[in-house]
Amino acid sequence: MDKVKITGVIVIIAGVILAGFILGDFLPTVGDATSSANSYLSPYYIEHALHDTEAPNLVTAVLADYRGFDTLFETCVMFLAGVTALMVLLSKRKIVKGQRNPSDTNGISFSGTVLDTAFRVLIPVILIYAFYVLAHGEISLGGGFQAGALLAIAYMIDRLIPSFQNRLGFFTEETAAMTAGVGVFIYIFTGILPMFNGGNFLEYGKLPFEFAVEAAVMLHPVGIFLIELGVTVCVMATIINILEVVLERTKFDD
Amino acid sequence: MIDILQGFLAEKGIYMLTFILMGLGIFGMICCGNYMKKVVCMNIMQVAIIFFFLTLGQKDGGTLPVLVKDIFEAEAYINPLPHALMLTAIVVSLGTTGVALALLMKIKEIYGTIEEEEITGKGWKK
Amino acid sequence: MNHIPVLIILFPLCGAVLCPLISFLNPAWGKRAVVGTLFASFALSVIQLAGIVQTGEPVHYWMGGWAPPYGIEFVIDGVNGIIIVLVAFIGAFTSLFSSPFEEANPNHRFKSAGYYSILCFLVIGLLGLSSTGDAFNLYVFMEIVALSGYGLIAIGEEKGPIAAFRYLLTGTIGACMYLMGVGFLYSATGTLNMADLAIKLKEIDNTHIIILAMACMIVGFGIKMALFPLHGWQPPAHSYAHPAADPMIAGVMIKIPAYGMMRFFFCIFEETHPAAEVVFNIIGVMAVCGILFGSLKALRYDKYNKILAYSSIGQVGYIALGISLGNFYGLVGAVLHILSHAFMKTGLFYTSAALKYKFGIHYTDELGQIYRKMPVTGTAMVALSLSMIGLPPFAGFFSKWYLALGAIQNGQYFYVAVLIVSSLLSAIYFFRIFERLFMGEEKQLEDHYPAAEHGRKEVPLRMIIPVVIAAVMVVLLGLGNTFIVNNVLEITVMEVFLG
Repeated sequence: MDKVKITGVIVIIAGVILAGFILGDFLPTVGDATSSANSYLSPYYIEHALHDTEAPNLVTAVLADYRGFDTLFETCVMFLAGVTALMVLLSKRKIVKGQRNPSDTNGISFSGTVLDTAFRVLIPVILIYAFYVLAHGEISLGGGFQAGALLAIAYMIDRLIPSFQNRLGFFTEETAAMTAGVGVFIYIFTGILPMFNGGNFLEYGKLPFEFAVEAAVMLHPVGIFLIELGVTVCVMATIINILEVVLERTKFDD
Repeated sequence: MIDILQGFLAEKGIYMLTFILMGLGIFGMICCGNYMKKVVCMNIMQVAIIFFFLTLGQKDGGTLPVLVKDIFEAEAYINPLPHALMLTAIVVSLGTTGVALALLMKIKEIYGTIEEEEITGKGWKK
Repeated sequence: MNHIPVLIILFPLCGAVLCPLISFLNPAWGKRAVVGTLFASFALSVIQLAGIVQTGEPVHYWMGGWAPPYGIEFVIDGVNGIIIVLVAFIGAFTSLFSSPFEEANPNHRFKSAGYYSILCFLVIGLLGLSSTGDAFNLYVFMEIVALSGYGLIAIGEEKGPIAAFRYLLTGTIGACMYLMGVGFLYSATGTLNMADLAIKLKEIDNTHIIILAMACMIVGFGIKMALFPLHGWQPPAHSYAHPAADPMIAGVMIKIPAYGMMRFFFCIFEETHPAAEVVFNIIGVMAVCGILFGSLKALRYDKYNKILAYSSIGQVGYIALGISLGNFYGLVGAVLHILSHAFMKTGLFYTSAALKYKFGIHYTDELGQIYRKMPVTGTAMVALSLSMIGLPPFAGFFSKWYLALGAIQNGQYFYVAVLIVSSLLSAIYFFRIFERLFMGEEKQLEDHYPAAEHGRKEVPLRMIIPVVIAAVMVVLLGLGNTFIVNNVLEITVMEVFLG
């Protein structure tokens, strides 16, 4: 029988069984503030996050402080994705140190009057916004991942619009992979520092920066900022890595 | 009758939609012939799971999980934990999509096509 | 001293992320950094296991200093500790084994650095999967294992990229099913910590969501461990992976999700739940089908890697059989089979990679009289294959013995029959390999590592040592089997899974 029909039948049967379960009242009502999902851990996070971590943004407090270990490995996933994409599409040409490859100079460029002017205005604005989002990650919405994506956008505009010799930023694929590794290492280093001071891994309260802050609890924003910096560097470098890997094999016909 | 249906849709309707979306994603991954379409359906399936988690964290009348000055009650804000978990899931799905696209470029280079029947015809035994 | 649980993961992690940077400056040192940190991690894991066996208490480590339901914790008990030692051991020796495959090339600095980085992340992911005590953290580690698996398979042989792509699609479905299971458990209890889940699941009275969560877990872990109907990705992936990373992928990567399944079904879901019996029967049926399917399909093929890949499907079926029996001997058999099969399959893939390195041998009919040119590899192949069939005194016999004891204890004699039939079937294809090895005619093959140049008859020393160690460990695990079961496994399995 046709693969489409068999799969369709299986999926519909599974769906009907699930619908029966849902009618049978086993998932909580949407919006219920007293369901089990909303009434064990989350009131603790909402009520104590400011006191424990000095971060009004609750999602950053949970992501970067209470569950900072998860975020470390999420950053590692990004680094791994960049390195894997690079290894899969590794070019066969020999890379001689210091020599510009001839295919790079036939660069891809989209220049025209409007774009040439616009990108010179856009890039500084985007960079400022990216640093703002990074620094305010724990006060309002924002954080390391968003800042890294914005920095990568600024690089992308600079890479695609002017011609190859006139661009401002210089990343190759391997350099981007190295930078991503350095970003993750910043994160790990911020976590290892408290271990020398008597705390556990990623325990910001025991960071050895006591001379710089007034109260021990103010070390938490310092720790959160440092790990978000590491995350920003890694995310930016990974997106640039994948961009360079893909651009090397792209031919533009127009 | 209409009231029961409306009540059901208001309370549990979103779960039905997320499961329908996930079913569509899995169906597309198995039955589409083009590898690129399979990658798109993989993304649809992952987004459906993300919606499922986020729906668990809703509270009626709650606002964004950023503390407003001097309000600390738990009912005023929605649950921050599923949002933090789903940020991780979104990043993981981004990484997987990046690797999938790199693999597709390599497959196109080797086989010249990304249609499943043509690749099966060129000697890839299932 | 009490930071050991996290240091086991941190050392290789620093090595893996700094490897591209160090290789940029000096290619050989990047490789040595990764190998060195993996050996350090192995040493620490042995110290940790010694500590646990001595005190008898599980080790808890709170990340960030936050108490468990609010933060993430690592929980290491007896069974965990053994599996961490196993993963670190095989990881360290596989990274040593791959050095001749990835000679540092000054013209192409990144090639070996990328390979070592991805291999190190595979080991880190597996170590983390075994140590963690938080359900969502397990998902993140599972995705690290999966992504590094996709990378190592894609840089392999001719059909590597497409095998990796199919594995990617199937593996993502598995991870999403696991995540949905965690979502159901979270909606029912409100917590993500495993110990907390175990306590809270006993208190709720909504049994439908537990059944649904169990079903999602079976599909999720089943795809990752290549259990019978969900095994489609496995044979191409294991046949076409990068030859030096294949031992790690085929030997260890599919077993640790089986341990994860054990953790979920015996520590979190209670075994006295009314639906548990149906669920265990379903796992048993999948296991039996997998055992028979794997052993039968392996008879068809001539390519060495493919025979070993299909035989792995059968061996994972044994572990699932142990899980489905659910009693003491069944679980002891399953854990012992994880240990012994890891060494057996890893050793066989080491020999396969050694054959590819020296002579480019992929098919068994090119194996004629190879024991004259590669005596150590030939002996190891014989020893490991005899252990896979299940002959005493090798390790393979004892795990099947305990599984049979468990089946008899439960009164399910059908499983004993399946065990015997599958051992006979594996005897058929392994003896066919022996026949070609000892009595086949010698083929003229191009020697890529000639003895005259390098002063040694076999493959390089860095490749021979892991082969010999795998064969020796199989013999030791077999001979010392009563010591291991009586002094270590009995107490820990009783306490962790059935207590």
